[in-house]
Amino acid sequence: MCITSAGKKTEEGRSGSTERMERIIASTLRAGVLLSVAVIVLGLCLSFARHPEYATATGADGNMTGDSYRFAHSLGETGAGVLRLEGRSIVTLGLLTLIATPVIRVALSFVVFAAQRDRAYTVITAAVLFFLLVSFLVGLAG
Amino acid sequence: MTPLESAVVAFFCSVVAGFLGSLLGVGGGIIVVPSLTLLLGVPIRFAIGASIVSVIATSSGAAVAYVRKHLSNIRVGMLLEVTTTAGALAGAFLAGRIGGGVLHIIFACVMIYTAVSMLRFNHAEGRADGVPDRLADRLALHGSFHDESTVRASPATQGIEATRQQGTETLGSKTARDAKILNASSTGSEVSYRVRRTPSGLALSLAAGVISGLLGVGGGIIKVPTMNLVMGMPLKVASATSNFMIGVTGAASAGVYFARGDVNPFVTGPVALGVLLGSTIGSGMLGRISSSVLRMAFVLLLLWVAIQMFMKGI
Repeated sequence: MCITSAGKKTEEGRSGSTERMERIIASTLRAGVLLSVAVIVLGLCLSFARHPEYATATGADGNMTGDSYRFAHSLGETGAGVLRLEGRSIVTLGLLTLIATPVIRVALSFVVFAAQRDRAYTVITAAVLFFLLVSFLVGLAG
Repeated sequence: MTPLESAVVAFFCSVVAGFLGSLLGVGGGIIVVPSLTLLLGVPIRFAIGASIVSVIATSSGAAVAYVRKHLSNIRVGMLLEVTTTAGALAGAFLAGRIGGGVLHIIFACVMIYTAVSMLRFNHAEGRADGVPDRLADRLALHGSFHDESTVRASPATQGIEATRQQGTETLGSKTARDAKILNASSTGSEVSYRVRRTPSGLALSLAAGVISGLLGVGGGIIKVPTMNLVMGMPLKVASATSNFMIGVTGAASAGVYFARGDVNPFVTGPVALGVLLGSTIGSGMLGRISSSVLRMAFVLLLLWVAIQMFMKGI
């Protein structure tokens, strides 16, 4: 721990703000991960509790993993399914939480850098957010 | 197989994928896709949808620990994310317009060249060399991390460390607690490194983005050698930083796969849980694993991907 302590001291102000950022990022990611795990587990438990035959019907896995399996793939359908307490829609909600986690991480970093008046990194995170948004829109259109 | 058995198999294969992915700085797609399609007979589009989500799961699951331990250099990660996401966008745009065959072969050759370079490059590990980089200085990219795999600190240095920690006890409970945790794992040493050739790193991240958009390869396999070989970051830091970044690029494409209906909750749910567990376990080990073992594993991964790319290109 001692080799770089001198170097760290000279950069105290900057490394302090970086460490705050690291804490915020780690907490955001952990919250996103824990929330999505809880929701996915809940959804899977609901599915298996409602359909005891899932544990006994040999050869039936293809019905769930195959092309004929019907499930929500828009935000509206997923929301409606969650309100009906449908297991598979709740799993999807958990997966969407997981997908959103890195995006929220970038958005939060942008806000924190802006508050710290770190101009270079405010621009950098804004650019990442911009490209994310564009690729999202392009992907949905294409 | 019953649906329950299928979910359990997908879960356990994904634990392995998340574990290896988090150590090597890549998404676990290389394990998730074949285990779903070959073992469970899942259609390829659902396997790819699950593998995209597994990239995000690997990244978020491991990044919690990597960011805390300063293994991920978040400043480098955020900077390179700019050109990677831009490149991925360009790659997706070019995807329908450029023939894949030749590109696969070229990429395979680049992978083999990278593997050879990684084998030859072990002298500079963790050494702060003298190449000046004004961009890296200005953006404060240089960093340090605690390498737990190196030899135990000498009794003399441990003494100094203890004195220093007694000093910090007075600085509020939080710092004192952190210092104690460091003391508890007082094997290894603090390794500082200087980042260099940032402009080349940015250019290669752009290429990594384009290639992942074009060929559907995760960007991690290019990002890790870029940060290690070109930018002079220690392999563990390169891997943890790549891991930190791949979640963002994964999220951009995951939205598209979801809207297309490729994210089957019954396939992807167990995969996500398994990968999250595996990457959490892996992230606890990266600090302790020896860099040369990690380097060999990465070289094998590069060669494996090169073979796959050759087969696709022919």
